[in-house]
Amino acid sequence: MTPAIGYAIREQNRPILSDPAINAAEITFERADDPLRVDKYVRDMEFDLVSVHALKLSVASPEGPGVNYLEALKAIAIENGAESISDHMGFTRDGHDGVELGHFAPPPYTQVALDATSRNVDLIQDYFGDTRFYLENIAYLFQFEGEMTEAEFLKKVLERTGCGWLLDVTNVYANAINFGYDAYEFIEEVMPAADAVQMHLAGGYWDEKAEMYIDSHSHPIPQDVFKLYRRSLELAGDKCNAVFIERDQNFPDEAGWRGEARQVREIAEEVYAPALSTH
Amino acid sequence: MAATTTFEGYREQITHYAQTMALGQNGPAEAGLQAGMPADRVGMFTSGNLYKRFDKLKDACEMLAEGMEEIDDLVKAYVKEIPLSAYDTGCTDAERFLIWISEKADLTEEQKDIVRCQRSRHAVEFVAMKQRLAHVRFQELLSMNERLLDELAENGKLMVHLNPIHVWSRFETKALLDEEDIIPATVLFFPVGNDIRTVVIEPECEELIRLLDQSGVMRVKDLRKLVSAGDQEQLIGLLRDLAEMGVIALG
Repeated sequence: MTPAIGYAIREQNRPILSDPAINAAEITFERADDPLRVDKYVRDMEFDLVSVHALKLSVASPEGPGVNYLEALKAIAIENGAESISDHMGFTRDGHDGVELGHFAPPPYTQVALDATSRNVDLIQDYFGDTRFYLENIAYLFQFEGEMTEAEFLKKVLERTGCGWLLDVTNVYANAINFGYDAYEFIEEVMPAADAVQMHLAGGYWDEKAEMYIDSHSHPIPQDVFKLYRRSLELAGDKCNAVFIERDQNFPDEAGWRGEARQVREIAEEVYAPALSTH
Repeated sequence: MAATTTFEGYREQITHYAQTMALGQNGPAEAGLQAGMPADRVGMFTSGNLYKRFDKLKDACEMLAEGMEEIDDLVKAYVKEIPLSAYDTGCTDAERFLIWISEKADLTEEQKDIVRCQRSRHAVEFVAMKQRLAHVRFQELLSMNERLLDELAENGKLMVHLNPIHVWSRFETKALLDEEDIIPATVLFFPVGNDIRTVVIEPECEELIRLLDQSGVMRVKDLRKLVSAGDQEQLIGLLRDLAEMGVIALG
């Protein structure tokens, strides 16, 4: 079945969310968690699938996420009828009373980090019950000394916890360029470990000075990412239930917003069409 | 720091990395990088985070920044001295910055009023966070005000609900007031929908709001009993004004 397709909701794309190509929406928790809110974040829009994307569960921290944060996240998920939540495979803080980095750093890919991350994911899944949790692979600027590869680490977390994989295709693309590995092999290696999959797509830019691809969510999705997305859908098959496009800067015009969503849907429909015709 | 095998070791490792990177001190994380990893990547990461934090604080303190030449240096000093706290919402960082700047900088009386104003707005959000349900219920009631206002003078059974999310402050200058306002002025901050409103409150109005705050929900007829016959019209006028502003809801 073709996955639901949608955008991470931003004020700039709200006007086009009723486009026929769009039937899903992702809510960024930190944007929706306004203590003065009186309306649902999705307002009167109806989607086949809504997911809440968090930034501060900090699943690779030594301590699990705090109850207040979990409660607030759950409230937004319930208010908006979300069927899944997600966050990143990294750490943004040390402990509950500690400091916040402002962005997620990759954990050292070690056995003990794997144990801590798996325990935190279990804790999150226990808390959310039927609302499935998806863990996103991050784009990083560096890696700490470790005992396994990122793909091995991610695979083991997925196998141990049974959580879903939020495959950020652009993050894999960026890391593959920046750290010299094969993006296709990475996805082929991890995909069998995931029981359920959602995807993120975005566009960044090549930073000449840093000699790195920066996943800035500021440009159209590159053609190479679309190719990788197509392959990811083929590998995921029916496990993939949603694809979200992220854009946070240099917002396109209306045609740009609609065009990108339609392209994402067209590829999904092409990938899933042969399967449909056999029934 | 080499890869650790114990949970306590991992806690120590992540705490050390997080606490140093949060202040832009890159050495410890650089020392823990995988062999061959360029060390300046940690600096790219931390400077990007500090830059974003700097920008958010500048935005949050825009009013204070007007006419304050040293604001950039103060924000830079703050982000290097005080790390972002766990689960920070942006609002909490701005609040901590305003406390910090009040201690570190020699603010003018006008700037002190701006700090009071911004801190009061933050306080409204903090109170609403703790009393989410009360906020939502009151805002629902508020939507009936327009219809019930017509009954205010005649229907003594109408209930008067005070907006549960409100914060008092006092402005000592006219920096944020109209020319005709008298200083010092008592001001009230409260939400209407997801907007925060600020109004200057006259003494008789303040008395009524504080009474409602202490007594909880009251009927109009019970409020009428508390004032003399000659002040009845003034009471209804005050209630009407407060209802139109969103300070009270009728039900």
